Parts: sequence; structure tokens; C-alpha cells
Amino acid sequence: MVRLLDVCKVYENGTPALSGINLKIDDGEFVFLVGSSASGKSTIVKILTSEVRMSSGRGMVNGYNLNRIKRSKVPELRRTIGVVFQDFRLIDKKTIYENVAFAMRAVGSSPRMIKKRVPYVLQLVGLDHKMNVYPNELSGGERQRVAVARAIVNNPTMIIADEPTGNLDPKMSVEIMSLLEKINELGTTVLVVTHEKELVNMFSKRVIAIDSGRIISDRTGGYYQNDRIGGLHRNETL
Amino acid sequence: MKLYNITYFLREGVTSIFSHRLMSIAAMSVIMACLLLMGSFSLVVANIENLLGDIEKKNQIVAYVDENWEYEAGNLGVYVQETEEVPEEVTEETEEISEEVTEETQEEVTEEILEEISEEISAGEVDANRDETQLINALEERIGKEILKIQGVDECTVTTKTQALEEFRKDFGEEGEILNGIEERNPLRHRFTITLKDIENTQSVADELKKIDGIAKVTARNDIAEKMMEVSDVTTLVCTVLILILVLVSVFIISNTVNITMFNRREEIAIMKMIGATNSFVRIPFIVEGVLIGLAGATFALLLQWAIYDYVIVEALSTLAFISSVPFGELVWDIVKMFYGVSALVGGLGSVITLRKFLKV
Ligand SMILES: Nc1ncnc2c1ncn2[C@@H]1O[C@H](COP(=O)(O)OP(=O)(O)OP(=O)(O)O)[C@@H](O)[C@H]1O
Ligand SMILES: [Mg+2]
Repeated sequence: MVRLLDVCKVYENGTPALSGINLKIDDGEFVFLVGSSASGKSTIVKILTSEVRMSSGRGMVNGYNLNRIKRSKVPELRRTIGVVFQDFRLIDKKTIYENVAFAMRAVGSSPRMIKKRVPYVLQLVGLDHKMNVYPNELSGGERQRVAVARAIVNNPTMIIADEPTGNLDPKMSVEIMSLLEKINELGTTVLVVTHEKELVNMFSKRVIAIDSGRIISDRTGGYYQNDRIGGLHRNETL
Repeated sequence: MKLYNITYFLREGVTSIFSHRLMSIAAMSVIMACLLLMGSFSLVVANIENLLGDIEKKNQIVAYVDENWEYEAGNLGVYVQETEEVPEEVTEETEEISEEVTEETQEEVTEEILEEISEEISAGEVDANRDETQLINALEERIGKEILKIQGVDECTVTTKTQALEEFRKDFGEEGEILNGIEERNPLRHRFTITLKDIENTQSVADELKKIDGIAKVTARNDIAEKMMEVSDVTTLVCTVLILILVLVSVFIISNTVNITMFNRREEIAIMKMIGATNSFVRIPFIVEGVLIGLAGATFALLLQWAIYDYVIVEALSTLAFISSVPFGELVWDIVKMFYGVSALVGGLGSVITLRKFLKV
């Protein structure tokens, strides 16, 4: 669940990243966030995970008030969100199993729970046969599947993937998107940030377009077109 | 905290230490040096204190009796009379009687003495011993009592010049015979050895002693104690400064070691935070690392300290014959507490300093 109301972000060095963002994502939705480079997509993600604080506006994520959240409560908020990055961010000296188990240990799960859950999640992403392999022995697509496994292992209510397919070839990209779609079907909210037009158009999902820190379009089931704003119908989201 | 978390923290801490061995060894060495200095210093201080305690016990004032002081038979009489305890509240009537009684006693005693003297004339050595006992009694009575009245005096023992000469002879050992002719004109004096309740009173007691009739000279050996204290003050200052510097260096090096670990693990840290690990969960392995380095340093330092103490300090002190050293066993628990306490603190502090710089988000 995401609610952003008139959110602005100006970075400390004076760079304006977001201006007047209104955004509403309900539990169980699958949403693409699209836009050209430097349009502010990653900034939105960072605000949602409380990695950066908004300059003005109001925000709510999974029941946590972004304006009032205490530093000590941020880990709690983050446990409700699983994040996947373009560069995978796996620990090279840990095996696949250990990479996923590490995420569970970091939130204080017991070894017994870890032993039960990790193989299940790895099976879900189709990597249960490569549990004891190291990340550099895997293809990019496989690595990203490990990252997805790690993101879902702690049962978050929402997955945020920031350009998860940026380093992958088209076939692998589709694979990852399908995986995320599958996870969404199992009940998890999914927000995918991307600027890959073709990929977005292959899935009939809600697409939010952002440009220069403003939402320029928000429509469901349509295609994402980068050219004209006029040709798109803009939904009121709040 | 759950057991599996504790084992996780320990495992992580140990892994980091081994992952950059050289730096860890450097950190351990500095801590070790710091602790060794601290330990050696406190062991020396313990020995100095022990020694001062000895001196304090031995701290005695010697009061020499005037050569011209002599006791006559009359003196002895007074002595006997006074020891005869006369109740203070005596009526004038009984006083006369008691005077008679004491006169009688006095006469008896004088008779006794006369008898003794005649016996002594025939009995040679016994003769001398009698004289000696009487002399001691007289000294105790006339001077010793006065000394004991002085504030701060604990005990006082008398040594006659004959006894003193005897001691002297013992000191000379086999060469004692060179003293043979000297008895005729014994150059030594009778003396009182006064033990003080507290070393602080030395001066005032010495002053009071000089006022007593019959005391010619007073020597106090307070100067030794003062010298020792001065020395230990200087050592304390120098060691404190050195220890402080080494503690700072230790904290700095540990802080750097932990910094390296944090750099090596920056990705892991970022991932942990992204996943929602609490700050303490992220930090504890680093603190464990710092503390473990400290404790390892302390363990090596303890063993080395033991060796150093037994082979160096004790040896060195034993060359100064008058010094008795404290055995390591008596001090070991204080050293153990100090070493592990300080090293854990230094290790923890080193980690915390580094952690405070990072992990802000
Ligand atoms: N930490 C930061 N400090 C200052 N300015 C920043 C910071 N992060 C991002 N920006 C600026 O904010 C703007 C939005 O950046 P953001 O990363 O959100 O873009 P993006 O849409 O994710 O782009 P991309 O598709 O290239 O990832 C950019 O102009 C960027 O230079
Ligand atoms: Mg981005």
C-alpha cells in the first residue's frame, strides 16, 4: 500500500528530483513506473523505503507514516518491502543459499525457519538445484532470480524492483517479469521501475509515467508511449 | 537475545579478525604493549606499596639517652615506690599508715638489693645481669613512661648500651673480636626504639621526644619513606601519560581495523540495511570483533606479564636485598580484571568510534 500526496524532493545539493507527486497503489496491485533517465524514478523508490526523506508532502507505505517514522522504526518498514536492484547486489563470497539465508538471519529468523524457507523460495524462482553455487557462477538472469528470492524470503507485503532487467537480455528480462507477475499473483504488491518500452507493453498492467519529477500519465492495461502526453489519458489517482 | 544470534555475532567477529590477519595482529600487539606497561606499572606500584607498608611498620624513631644520665639507688627506690599502687582517694589518716608501709617496703627492697649485691660480688656474671635488669627498669620507669605518654607512639622498647654493643658484635660476626677491648669504655648509648602508630606523626613525635629529660638525640628515618613516595609519584605520572597514549593508539588501531572490516563488508551492510536489519544487528559483529581483538591481546599480555614479572621484576628487586617482592599469584586476579576490563573497553570503544562514522541511515 502506497500513498504519496504532493510529494516534492530537492536533494541537499539543490537538484530538484520530484515535484508534486500524487500516487496511490493498493495491496495486490502490479504497477510499472516508467520514465526517461533522471526523471526521478529511483528517488520515488528511495522515498518509499525511507532511504531519503521527502522535502515536502505526505506519504504512507504499508501503514508507516513516512513523515513521522522514527529512525528506529525504519527497519520495521523495510521488512515489509522486498527490494530488487539492477545490479543484483548479491554477496559474492556467499553461496546462493547463504545469500538468501543471510536476509532471513538479518531480521532475526531462527536457523530452523531458515532451513525450511530458503529451499522453498529458491524452488519458487527455479534455482533449487543451484543452492550451493556462488553468484559469479550464475548467469545474469539467474542472479536476478536469486535477488528476487532474497526479496521475497521475508514475506514482504510489497516488492519494489528498480530496473530489475537493466542488465539482462530480452529473453531473461521477460523471465524475470514473469516471475514478478507470478509473485504478484501469490498476493504480493509489485512495483517495477523500468524504461524498457517493449517489456512494459508485453504485460497488460497499470503503467505510471513520470517525467522531470512529475507524473505525466497513469493508466491501466494500456501501452506506454514516450512521445506525446496528449495522446494519453491521465487517471486521477488520489 | 537468542542463542543463534550470539553464535552468529561471534562467528562473524572471528571471521573478520582472520580475514585481515596483519591488521588484527597489529591491533593486538598495541593493546598488548599497553596492557603490559599498565600491568608492569601496577605491579611495581604494588611492590612499592608493599615496601612502604614494611617501612611504615619498621618506621621507628630512635631516641638516644644522654651519656650523663645515670641512675642511682635512689632512683630505683622511687621506681619501686611508684609501682606500689596507692589508691588515690586516701584519707589523711590512712596516708600515714601507707607511708609507713611504703617505707617498710623500701627498706625491705633496699635490704634485698644489699643482699643481692653481696651475692653478686661472689657470683660474677649474675652480678652484671642484675645491674642490667635494674638499669632497664630504671630507664623504662624514668624515660620510657614519658615516651609512652606522647601522642602517636605505639610501642617503645629499650636497648641498653651493653645490649647495643652485643648487637654490634653480632653484626661484625667473626670479626667481632676487634671489639673485644671496648667494653671498658663502651662508646654506645642506651637507646629507645619507638614505633609509631602512623608514619605521619614522625616529626611531631620526634619533637616531643627531644623535650624529655635524659634524651640526648633523636633520629627519625622518615626520609627513606619520603624518597620512595617521591619516586613512585614520578613513575606514576610518567606511566599514566604513557598508558594514556597507548590507550589512544590502541583505540585508534582497533578503530582502523574495524574500519577495514566495514569497508570489506560495505555491500553486506548495505544489503542488511535494505532488508531491514536493525542497527544493532548490523553493528554488533563489529563491536564483537573489536572486543575479541582486545581480549586476545589481553590474554597474550597476561601470559607475557607473568613471565616478565617472575623473571625480570622479581629478579631485579631481589638484587636489592632489603626489598621483598609480592608474589604474582597474590596480584594475578587484579591483573586479570584490569587486563580484560581495559581491553574489552578499548576494543569496544574502537569499534563504536568507527561505527558512529558510518551506518547513519
Ligand atoms: N543523492 C543524490 N544527490 C543529489 N542529486 C541526486 C541524488 N540522487 C539523484 N539525484 C538527482 O535527482 C534526479 C532524479 O534522479 P533519479 O535517480 O531518481 O532518476 P531515475 O529516474 O532513477 O534515473 P535512471 O533511469 O537513470 O535511474 C537526477 O537529476 C539526479 O541527478
Ligand atoms: Mg534509477
